[in-house]
Amino acid sequence: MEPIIFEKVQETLANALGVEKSDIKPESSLTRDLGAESIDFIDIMFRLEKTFDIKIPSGDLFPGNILNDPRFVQSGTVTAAGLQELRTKLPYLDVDGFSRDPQISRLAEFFTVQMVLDYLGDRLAKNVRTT
Amino acid sequence: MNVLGVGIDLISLKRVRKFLRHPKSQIRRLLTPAEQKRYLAKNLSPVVFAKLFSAKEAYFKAAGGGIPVFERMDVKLLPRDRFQVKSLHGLRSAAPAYGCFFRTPSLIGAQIILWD
Repeated sequence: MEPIIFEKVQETLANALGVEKSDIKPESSLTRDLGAESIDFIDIMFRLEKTFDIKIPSGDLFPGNILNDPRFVQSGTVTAAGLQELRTKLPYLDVDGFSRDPQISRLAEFFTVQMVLDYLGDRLAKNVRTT
Repeated sequence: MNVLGVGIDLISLKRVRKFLRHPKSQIRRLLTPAEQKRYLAKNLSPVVFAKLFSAKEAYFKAAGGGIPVFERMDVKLLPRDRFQVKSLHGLRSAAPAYGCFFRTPSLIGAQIILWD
């Protein structure tokens, strides 16, 4: 990951969440450490699109659409099939960490700055390959 | 009748005003086509957007929580601070559900109960 990308992500998150850039580290959880709520996830997504000139489809970075399927979530817990789906669709999410107690209500705690960086790394590399 | 779930959400109008600085083309992505027709044709006020957003959040929490997909829940604002939500895909309650709003000068809140 190029330092310039981390700097841009830090700036984007600082502006969206009203936190200091120095508080934003790769391992920071967007919710637990930086105080992000639902509207902030969308705000962050829109800001990243503008900053990096990309389009982020719904569910691509933050996986809402995967988990509305009853095969993947039952009684508030992500099933084995759901965990597998997360691994396939979101390779940059720490699914192993989440799977120790896969309560759907805890999932957002695993959205970290590193996850955003890894996602952008993939996306930007693909953009370079296609141009 | 059994209660399937209860959902409550609160959102700050200050936060919504900041959020609405994003272009309309991006805001549109959070709304169903019917909502776009109903609410986006005119200037979308912070209060209306806060109501749509908090109603969807409250409904999603009542339906089981997780990460909301806003464009798959259709909200219709009703008289006397009530609302109707229909899930367009995959959520627990397929029938329309009804809730109500509450507010302070700086916050909008929504609450809903889902029944079987």
